[in-house]
Amino acid sequence: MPRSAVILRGRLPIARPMFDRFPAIRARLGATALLVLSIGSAWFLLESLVYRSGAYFSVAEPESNAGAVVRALLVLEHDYRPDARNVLVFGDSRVAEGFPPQGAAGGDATFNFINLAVPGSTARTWYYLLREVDRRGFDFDAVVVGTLYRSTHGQPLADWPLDAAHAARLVGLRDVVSFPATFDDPAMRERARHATLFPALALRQDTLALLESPRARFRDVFETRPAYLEAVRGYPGREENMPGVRFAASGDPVVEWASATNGQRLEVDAILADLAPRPPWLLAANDAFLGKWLGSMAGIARRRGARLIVYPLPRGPYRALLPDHPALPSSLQSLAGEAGVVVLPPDLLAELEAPRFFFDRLHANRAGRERTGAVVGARVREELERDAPP
Amino acid sequence: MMFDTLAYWLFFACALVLLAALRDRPSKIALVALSYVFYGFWDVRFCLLLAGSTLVNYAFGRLIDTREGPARKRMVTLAVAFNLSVLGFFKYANFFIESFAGAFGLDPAGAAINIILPVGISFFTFEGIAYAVDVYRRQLRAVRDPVDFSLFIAFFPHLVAGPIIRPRDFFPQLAQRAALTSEDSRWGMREILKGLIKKVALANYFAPIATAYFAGGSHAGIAVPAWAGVFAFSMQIYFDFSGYTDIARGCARLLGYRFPPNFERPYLSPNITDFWRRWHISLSFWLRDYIYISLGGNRVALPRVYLNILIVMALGGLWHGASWNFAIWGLYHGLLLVGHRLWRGAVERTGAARAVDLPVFAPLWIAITFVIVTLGWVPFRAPTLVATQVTLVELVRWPDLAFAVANQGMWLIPLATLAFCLLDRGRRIQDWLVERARLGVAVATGVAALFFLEIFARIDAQVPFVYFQF
Repeated sequence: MPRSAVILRGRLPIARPMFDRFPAIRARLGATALLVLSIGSAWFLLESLVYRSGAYFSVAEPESNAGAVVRALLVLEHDYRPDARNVLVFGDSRVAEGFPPQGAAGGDATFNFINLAVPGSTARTWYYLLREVDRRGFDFDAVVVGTLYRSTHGQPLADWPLDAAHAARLVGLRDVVSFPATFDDPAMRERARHATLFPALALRQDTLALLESPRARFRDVFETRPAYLEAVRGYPGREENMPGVRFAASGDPVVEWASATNGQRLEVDAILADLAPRPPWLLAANDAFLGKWLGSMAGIARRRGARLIVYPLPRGPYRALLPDHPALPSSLQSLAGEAGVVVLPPDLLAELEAPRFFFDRLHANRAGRERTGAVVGARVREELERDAPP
Repeated sequence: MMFDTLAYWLFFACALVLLAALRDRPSKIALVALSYVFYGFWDVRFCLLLAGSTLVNYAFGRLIDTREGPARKRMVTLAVAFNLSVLGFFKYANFFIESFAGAFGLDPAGAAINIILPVGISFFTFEGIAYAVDVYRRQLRAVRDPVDFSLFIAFFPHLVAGPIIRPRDFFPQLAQRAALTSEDSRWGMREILKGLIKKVALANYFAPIATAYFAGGSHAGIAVPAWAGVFAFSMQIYFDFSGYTDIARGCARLLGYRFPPNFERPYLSPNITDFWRRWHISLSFWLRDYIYISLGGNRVALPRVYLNILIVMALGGLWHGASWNFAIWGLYHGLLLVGHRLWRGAVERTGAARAVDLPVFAPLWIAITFVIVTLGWVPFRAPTLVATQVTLVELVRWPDLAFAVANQGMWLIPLATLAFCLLDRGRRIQDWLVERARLGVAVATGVAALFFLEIFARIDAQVPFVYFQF
């Protein structure tokens, strides 16, 4: 008799369900689930204790990207005065070198400028840093951002490689979807995801350096950094300046090297090599990037009843090599129309686009720093005075 | 979707939960489907090749099983020829075209075919051959259930880089679905974490150094000396391949299947014969069972035995890639194996075996074996025959140790690994963790492993698994 007939005789063929009963599923999955959940929970707990709590960041290398953000927050804690009108200043190394907090106050003790610039950072980092400041409950009357109105970067800022490292201290699990999504490149998104999900992985290099030279690290953190925090507010800027070279209209660009040193010649060569205009798509993308993140910063400022004031950085030490100051890019034009936002004119610091105000191709020297503080500080104080009750 | 990506582990976690929830037959069907999804991440077209190869091998198995005498032999010959043709076309067509053109002074550029090498083809074609021959030798009956057979070929943990599983090891596991014990879970997790550490932390440390040397560049601003480049590759290939196998075995175990080991601490082998019992074991045994024994094995005259060894090892070398460098590597190991047999015979005839086998000499034999194996990696890794020659000449020079001083991992990692192997003799610590340790200890070890991975993982190195190219 065929086998199938034996099976079917006297019984209806019943289709067996696809899924098994719960006891069988538990028997298959239980041990693995228990082990994975136990390890996962313990690992998460340890990571939270060490990294998410901020404990590790207190010993992060001060000169690293993550350390620079930690240092900015420490500067805030050190310099903040609850009795004053606190003005937070954001930017990259050009603002770190080129904006004097004391000079900007112009001798008015009611104003307290705090320079939170982070070298190598972008507007995305400035937003997350401001978000952290806001989260910690610091009151402020204004947020000042120093930036180039038209980016000279040769790559899309949306995939700026240092941002994931900068953000390690500033993002957490709540940002696991939103922060990676701010990057376009899949590899950068992966790094951004690491910064939110696996802070130990994001700080791998820093931890390796700590294991390699723990003594040097502790010296940097517990001796050098406190001294830095005491001194940074009064940092005067660097004395050197760029050489006063002359440029020909065509042919060999540099006509006279004047008293330029070899290092300065290399700086000038770097400037000349970087003169090529950026493609329109890149300018548009970076303009949109700047507008997006400054807009987000404006949102935080508005919620706090504070102003967002944007000022233009001097574009470089040789005015002759630079185009005329163009009109505001579209992102800053629309930003300027928002309540509580002031975008200062593009040629505000045009006078500083001279070699005597720069010590290298990017950064202002002492003279440039003082002049910036005087001009921008005055404009900021003027804006805040206008808002102040009579 | 490689084992060292977050995407794979999300895929695996979903697969684990889904398969655990399904009854036996739906679970097998789902596992086959998931395996094709996994394979399709490389190239969807590869799935067609895999499905076609599976169907043909399944049919051949049934045909072999239902025939006798010369017809049976004809079927197994056709089955082997089919698998070798598939492998030959995708892997060796351009090699033969270029070699033929080179021999006759012709330009191969016009004749070469634009072929993409399907990932894992060397592995699943060899499994197809193993199946056909095992059925022919009556070591197992042809599988009737096409789902079972599809699973044998396509099972995703081993699909792209082995181990080459034997039909008689795998099919009995399909007959009854094994219950997963706590020990299975710990074993699986242990192998996965161990494999990830080997691959992402250790292999990826050495890979840039080896690549820098063989590409003629520098590493971290320092020129890489020949000894460092070759030693780095020796470390890279072991940690990379054994790490991959560990992960594959761990994943399979968590899914309820057991794979045989593929590596048994091969760099601690006291002689080359022992090395080939410990290195890529599944391939060694495949070559022994399906080529060496078919050629006569040890049953023929001694000169013929030695010739068989050379043939098998040369073919084993060519299996790795379509290049004369791989053939040279295989022949080199063949000569070493023959040489070891001769040497061992002489030692035993002269009565020196007792002295040679003294435990005090073991480190010496292990060191010598390691050096000759490492030398063999030169043609394996060098891009051309000329590069092989140049490297071998550079190795004769007095080694520049400054590189090791600047890159301490070069000696710290091997020393630490050796210390661990000595401490964990017979895997007693690893087995204790799996079989007897309290849950808290197992969890703490797992957490420590994850932290180690986070700190020492070189995921930025972006180094693919070495054996994926085979």
